[in-house]
Amino acid sequence: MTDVSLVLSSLKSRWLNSLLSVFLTAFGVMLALVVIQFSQHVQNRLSSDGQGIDIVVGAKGSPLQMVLSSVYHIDIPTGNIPYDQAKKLMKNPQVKTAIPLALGDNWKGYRIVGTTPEYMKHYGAELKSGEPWHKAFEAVAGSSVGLEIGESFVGAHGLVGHGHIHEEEKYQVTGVMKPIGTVLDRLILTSLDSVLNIHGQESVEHTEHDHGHEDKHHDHDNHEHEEHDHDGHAHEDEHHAHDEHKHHDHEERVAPEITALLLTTKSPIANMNLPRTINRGSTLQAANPALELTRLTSMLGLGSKSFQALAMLLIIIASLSIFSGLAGSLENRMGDLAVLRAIGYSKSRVFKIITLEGMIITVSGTALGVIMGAGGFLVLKTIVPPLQSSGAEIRFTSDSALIICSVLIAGFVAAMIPAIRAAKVDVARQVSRNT
Amino acid sequence: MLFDVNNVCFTVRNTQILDNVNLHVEAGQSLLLLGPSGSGKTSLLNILAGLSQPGSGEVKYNDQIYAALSQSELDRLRANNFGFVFQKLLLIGHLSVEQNIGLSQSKADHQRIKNLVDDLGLSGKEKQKARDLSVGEAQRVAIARAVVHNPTVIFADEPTSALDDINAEKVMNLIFDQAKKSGATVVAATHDARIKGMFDNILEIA
Repeated sequence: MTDVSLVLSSLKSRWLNSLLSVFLTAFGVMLALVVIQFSQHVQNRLSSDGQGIDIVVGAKGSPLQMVLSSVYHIDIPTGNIPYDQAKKLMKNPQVKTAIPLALGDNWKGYRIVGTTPEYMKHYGAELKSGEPWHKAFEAVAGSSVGLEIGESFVGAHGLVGHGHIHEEEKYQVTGVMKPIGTVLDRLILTSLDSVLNIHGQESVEHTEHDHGHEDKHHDHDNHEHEEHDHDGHAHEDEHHAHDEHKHHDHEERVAPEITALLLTTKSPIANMNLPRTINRGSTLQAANPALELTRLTSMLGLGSKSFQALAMLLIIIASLSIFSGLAGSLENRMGDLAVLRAIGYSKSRVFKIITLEGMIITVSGTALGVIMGAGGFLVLKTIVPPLQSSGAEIRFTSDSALIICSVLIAGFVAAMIPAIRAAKVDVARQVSRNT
Repeated sequence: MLFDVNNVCFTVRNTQILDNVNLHVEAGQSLLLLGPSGSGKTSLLNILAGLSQPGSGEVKYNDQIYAALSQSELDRLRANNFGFVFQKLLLIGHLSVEQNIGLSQSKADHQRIKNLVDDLGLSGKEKQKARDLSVGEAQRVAIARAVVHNPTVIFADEPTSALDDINAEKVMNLIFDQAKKSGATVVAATHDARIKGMFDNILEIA
């Protein structure tokens, strides 16, 4: 009879105990793997969404909130900033590129972002079909949004859920982006004017023309725009109707404000200096996303560390279960083991037999845990929309390997202690006992 | 000389059980260690089988001194030369009849196991779990396990202690029959004087 047959038969005879140990191990491994997958996914997304953005400028408030709302689109903005001030900053000699963002509305929870085509270029986003927006109320949808070319929709006020519907203006989808695994996948991009106009603000083109004429006209709060301001514009035909609309409402419209400005700088020194200058000398707030990201990951890290601690605890419980299963049954099996030793099984062979029992439980539990972990992650991906929309994928990483190795080592150690005891069984005493 | 025991002493919990025991057994000569409970007969049987170390004295098997052998050499010596019928039989309950018999073999000889099963009247029980056997069946399986690898010596500890005269005789006949077939020497320890007549040598321990 082979040792493997002996071990399998022994495990089968204690099937309930063995199964419990296998499942405890599997749950520990599953939880640990899912936590690691989540943690890595969040890290990857934070890195890819924040790529290349050196400074975020917005309204004063929490810098982390500003970065979260403007870069990652997962929080509400700290407020708005006057477009005039943003415009000045965009012309700062230390600034390489500047992307204005105007937030305020959503469609079915997907944020409508007023911006410039630079935003797409920054992330290397390409259109799967259609073309970019050319005028107000044309929009390009991210790959996860679910809008098709030619489709019309209306924005709801607010950044989540169903707020007041802006029924007066309908957006038209002109393009759909390819999935790129960044925040753009779940955004609807449109021109700045679309978002500004729908909130009763002057269009940026209008303002730019004012600035183009003379700085003295820049004070929108005074509403000193003259008829010739409009007359002098060489608007495209398609803008005309909107301009007319603006013209009629001119007195009610206020100076444009945007939510944030995403900047890339010309030098690392500018990364350090520009935020200080902005924070000291204006009503604006500048934040470095890298620094805020560090804060964010340390906050998230606390959460994932708790999960990791829980996963490790489960693995320890599973190991203890393997240990108690083997050690508990050992007392009843001492006679069996003594027989094996008496008929010539060496100490090392008995040690191997008991260790093999523990390792079969550990390896089965680990394999089941990996399958359950992968399956669980896929199920979570299906039922948790943000995971789906953010392109969460199962990846086998060095951390996953570390978890698996830890479990195998823990299982081996758990099996080793009863195995040593089994190998040292007092053969003569066991085979001669009368009870 | 199969066994050569000189001046063996053995102590259990500060009580001397065996005091200067000397014993010589030739190959093919059966030996009965006879004595009441607590006399030390099982201790001597274990010492002869290499399962216990004496406190002092020397034990030789075929001129091999036990004390000079390493643990693994002693394990191999037992595996190759000895078979055991324990007092409580000690079959492994979750294993089948044929698996229990095959435990002593490093490589299962299915034909040998089948022959033994037939010989001992266990046909049809091969796949039955040991825990489901009757006492008589279990006794026969224990004997089969002791002889399956054709040992030189069969050790039997109290093989008839709980049996009536008829069954005691049957069991001893089975052991001796199998020993004869495999050319083994039987060494038994018992307090049961009914089987004295079956052995070539008797060592009475008080």
